[in-house]
Amino acid sequence: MDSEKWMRAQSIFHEAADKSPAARADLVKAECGSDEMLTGVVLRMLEEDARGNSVLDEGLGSTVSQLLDGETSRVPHQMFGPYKLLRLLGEGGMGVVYLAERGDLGSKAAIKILRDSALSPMRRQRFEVEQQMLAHLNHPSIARLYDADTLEDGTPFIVMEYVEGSPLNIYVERRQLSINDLLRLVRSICEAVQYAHAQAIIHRDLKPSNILVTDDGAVKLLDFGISKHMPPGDNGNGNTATAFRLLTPAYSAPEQIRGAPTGIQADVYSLGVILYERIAGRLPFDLSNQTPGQIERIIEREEPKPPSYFGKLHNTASWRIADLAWSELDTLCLTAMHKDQKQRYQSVEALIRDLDHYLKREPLEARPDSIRYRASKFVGRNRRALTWLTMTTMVLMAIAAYSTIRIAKARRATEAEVARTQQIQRFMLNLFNGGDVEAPSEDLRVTTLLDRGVQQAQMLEQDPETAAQLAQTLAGIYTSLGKVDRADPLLQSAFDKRMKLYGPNSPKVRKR
Amino acid sequence: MPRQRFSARASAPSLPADVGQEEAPSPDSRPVDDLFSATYEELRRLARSVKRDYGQATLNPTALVNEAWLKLAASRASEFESVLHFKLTAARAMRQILVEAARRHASDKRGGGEVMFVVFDEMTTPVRCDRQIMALNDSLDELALLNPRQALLVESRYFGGLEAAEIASLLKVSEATVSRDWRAAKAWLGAEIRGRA
Repeated sequence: MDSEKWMRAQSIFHEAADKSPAARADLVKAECGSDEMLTGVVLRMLEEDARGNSVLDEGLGSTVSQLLDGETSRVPHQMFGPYKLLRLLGEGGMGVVYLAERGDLGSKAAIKILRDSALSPMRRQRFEVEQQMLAHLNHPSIARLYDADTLEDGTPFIVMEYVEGSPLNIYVERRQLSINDLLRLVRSICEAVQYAHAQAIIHRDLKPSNILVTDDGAVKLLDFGISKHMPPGDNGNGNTATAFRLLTPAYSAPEQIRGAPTGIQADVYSLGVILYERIAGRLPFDLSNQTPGQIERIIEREEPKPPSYFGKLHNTASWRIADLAWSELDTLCLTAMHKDQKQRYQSVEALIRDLDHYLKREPLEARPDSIRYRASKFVGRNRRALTWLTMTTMVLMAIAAYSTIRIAKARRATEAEVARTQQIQRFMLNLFNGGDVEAPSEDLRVTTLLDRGVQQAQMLEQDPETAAQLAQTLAGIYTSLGKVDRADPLLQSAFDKRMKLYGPNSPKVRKR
Repeated sequence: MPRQRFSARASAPSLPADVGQEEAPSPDSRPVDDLFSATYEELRRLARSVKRDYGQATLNPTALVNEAWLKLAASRASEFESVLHFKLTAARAMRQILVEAARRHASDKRGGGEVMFVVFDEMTTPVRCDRQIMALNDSLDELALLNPRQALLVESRYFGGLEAAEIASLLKVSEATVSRDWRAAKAWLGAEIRGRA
């Protein structure tokens, strides 16, 4: 049948449908003539229509229930390609891991089935492609990925090297490693992560339970890049929920918790926490009994105590570390775990270098937080205590300072620059005068005003250089209020705009 | 170790070529593709969690679609042109989910066969609903070749629970046209399914 005939069949059908059976037959005969196919189609349609109990009129409910019921329980009985499941190895937040054996070769593998996760057919392809990339990771300290696929219902699973070893924390506790041996162990973990980063693969969920250590002290990292295939959580509050189901918050960087884009520095952060935990004998933050919102706030805002604070109590007996060495360990951990991505070690390689410096008793490359940073932290911590008036004064001073600097610079520069500066100044003052709309109410927070300013700035059409300067000005005020996290994206956008405008080699293109 | 390919999945069902069609991933179709995938996965996950949390409770597709919308709207509302657009996507996702499930059931010798009957007509010819869904899927593909809009109508009404008025505004036709097209499509599909299932 073709479209035309279908049109014809329908029109005869409609004409005949509401007639009496006898009239129907006559009409079909008259309209279809000798076309047997057309006659057949129309008669079958009429017959079906007359039944009045079409399948399509029944709800889909019972079908859905019958087809989708009880599907998950079937998983363990089936074969995974050439592999047969032997026994359950473990069960974690991410999924279930089975020990499996290859029927033909008798070799062992671990099969991990990602729990509650179903990929659509299109994403399955992408999952496979990604896993194939991961299969190319060939490093003695990374568990090999043999294969990855999805079950028929879209549940992803991966076949990987079966490693007989203990999770990092258990291994370290059992062995009572010296501090130097511990750092060497962490160093070899770092090397594996660095190797993956060089292949453009980020782990995103590094934690002690993903790091196995074999009896002879060899490290094996598991689960590279899997976390993003986990389903979002159902606590119903957006990104945070997603981040929580996916990640182990204790080891996750603030930007991950926020749901912001993450880079290799997220792994640096996790490595920092892993090291911190071993040195301090506990995690940097006590997240037990906290709500997701509280956890988010703690990880984003709260400064951890230096690991020596706990470590000195915990480890004095066995480690005998000099005070200077303690402070270096503090610097190492806290630099790796810095809230601000840009203040962290910029690569795992940089972290490795400082581990080496420590082991060789050389000075570290990392410096404890600068005074300027601490001062801004002080303001940040005491923000609530300061009155709105004080805040306003500070902000106005900041504007004045920024403007002065800009004007001073502008004198040396062109007329256009002056105009731009004035434009920015007007924008800022206008903002703090409450804009054109209304005077700011007494309880309006300075940050609220600033946030509004950022929005307005984004809406204004400006030449890129003005926009960049404006972003930088706003960032400067955020920084002096201790809101480094809000300053960063602005600085980044200023940087990006200038990159576009002047190219990477211009002196105008500076990060800060 | 030599990489041995193996696949544990059925091939994706072919979908009618019409409005909102998701083709194999190409750079341009990426957003649509993502949206479809997100919807598919959310529906699938919801179906499972309903099953887990409420035991034998009947899964109500309209409720599933609504809940999926609430969930996805929070994070991705802006990507959908409208609620209607979402429902359309959800209808297609639901179709695909059911067809895949039906194929699994049909191929699963151990689990197959029992208690899956739908009263089809007065003669109570038992028809397993997995075969029924697969037959509907195939017939719908055929209908899409004859008249894509009509297939879209059936898909969105049957699998997505869209109202006649919604479909009318979606297809930019009158409600009368929608009910005429629905009646004819239903008659044809019903006869086809009877022949196939």
